[in-house]
Amino acid sequence: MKKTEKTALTAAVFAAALNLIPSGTANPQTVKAADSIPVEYPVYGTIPAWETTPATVTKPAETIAYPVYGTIPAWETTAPTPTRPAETDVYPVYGTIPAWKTTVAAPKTTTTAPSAPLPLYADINDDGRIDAYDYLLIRKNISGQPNGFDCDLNGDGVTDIADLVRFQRYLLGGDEPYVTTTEPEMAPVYGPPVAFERNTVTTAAYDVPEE
Amino acid sequence: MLDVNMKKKRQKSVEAYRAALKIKPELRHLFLELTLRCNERCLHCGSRCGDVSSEELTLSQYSKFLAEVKGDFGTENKMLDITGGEPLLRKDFFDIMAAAHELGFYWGMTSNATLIDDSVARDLRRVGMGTISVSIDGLEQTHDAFRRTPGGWQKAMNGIESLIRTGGFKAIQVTTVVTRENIGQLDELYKILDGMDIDSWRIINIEPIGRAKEHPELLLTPDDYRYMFEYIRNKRIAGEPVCCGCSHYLGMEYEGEVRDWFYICTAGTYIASIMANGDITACLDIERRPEFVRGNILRDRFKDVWENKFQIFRKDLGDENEKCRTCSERNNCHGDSYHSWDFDKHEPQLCFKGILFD
Repeated sequence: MKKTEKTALTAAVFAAALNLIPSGTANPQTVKAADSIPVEYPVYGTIPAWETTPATVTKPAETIAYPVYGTIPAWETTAPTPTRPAETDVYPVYGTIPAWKTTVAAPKTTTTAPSAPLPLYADINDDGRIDAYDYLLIRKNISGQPNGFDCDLNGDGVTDIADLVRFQRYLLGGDEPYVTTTEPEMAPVYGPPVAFERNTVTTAAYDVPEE
Repeated sequence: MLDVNMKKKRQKSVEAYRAALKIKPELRHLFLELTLRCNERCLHCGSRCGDVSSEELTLSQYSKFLAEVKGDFGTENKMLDITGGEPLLRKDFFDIMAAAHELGFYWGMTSNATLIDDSVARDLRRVGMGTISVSIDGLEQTHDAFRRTPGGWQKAMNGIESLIRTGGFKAIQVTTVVTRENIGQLDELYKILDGMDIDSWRIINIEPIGRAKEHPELLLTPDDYRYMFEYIRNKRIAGEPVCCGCSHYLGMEYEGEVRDWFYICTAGTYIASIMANGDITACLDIERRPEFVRGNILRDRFKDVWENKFQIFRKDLGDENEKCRTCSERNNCHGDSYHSWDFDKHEPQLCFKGILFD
């Protein structure tokens, strides 16, 4: 099945939303809105008309998020370039120990040169793809677990939330937070129809007052 | 799993949008049931295809109708959804779809793909097919038994491969209807589908409609539902292009996590359907009762029916049932999907309260 930028972003949103406390049990409900990254998650096709809440990005939680329901996701066990993490890193209690816990790879050489424009340097792990694996490396770097990869996408000399935002915006299709299309992008055969020109959909009629 | 506050906010947006749609509907999907003939006899068929006579419209009738729709609604942001029966059984299928394509309509279809080979796939591309959803209802033996078609699975898989080989389509999707018979095969089926270059896998529960009502042994238990939606969610966590269907309110736990949108039944507000004989209704899965046939394209202008005779589909089903009226999820569910409402007992035939949420 085809893995796309959108499916990668879906996985990344789940990864960002989940939280694993040190005891090894998942407690996703403890993830507060302010501590999570409630970015607008992707759809297969344009996001429906009612999905008009602008993406907001806040500093991610300190701990690494792992899902503990069911199988450990493939991105945890098949990362193409595993690295040795910091000693305090947590790994899932359930299922296979992730590859990065058992293997060591030479970290990518960090350069001081400014980051080249995306997409070249967005391929953090040098696997030839820009996907959720790269996203997670940026997140780990930001949350205090440097992994030796150059995650400074905007070339300002530091790896921070700005790099993460830039990466997310790239995955969403450009500098604008919403995908703009000149031709309508049709939804799959089944499923609710979509706002084909989402950035022209007025939301005034649908805005609801904040509680 | 995802942020609950974010979800609640989005639910409110959906609610507001839904209210606006009830006042000012927007036609986006027009289903055309080209035929009720089918070369399979699926146990769950909502239209009981193959067992009923199929009065069918002619090419000229479709051409005239589609030209009228284009004149009244335009083709921009509209999609024709071609279904049946098995649409490819129509000998004039490509003539009809070529006419639609020339008028500028974007279209997709559902098919069992048993009649698709490389030549047919090329013809589908030539007449502008954008998307296709192919039914694969389990591993080979299960699929063939469920659809009562020996060799059907292999033919369907060959059809999918032909589509992939031909290329040029916006999306090739596989749809699996989950029943008690095949729920244990999802992992094996996933391995097979993951080896194919399809765009997505839609997993939907068997609905208590049509022929499925005669086979209650196939309906899922509460544990089965929970397993199915957890399965879908886990696949999506892993970045797989898997989703459930558009039906049913799933509760705060699963909404926004097992599909890319929040539940809203758009029958009659986004969606209209033309039955094989030209009757106009909202969704083809809705029980075919006389009151839901709102006109016929051979004698009525579709636009008039859409604007003036679809109110029956634009009401809140939850108002008809005391339990729904007083339910805490009433503003998200509204009596759930139109097609699964029991219009005799005035209650939803499938409610996930108590199964997926409290």
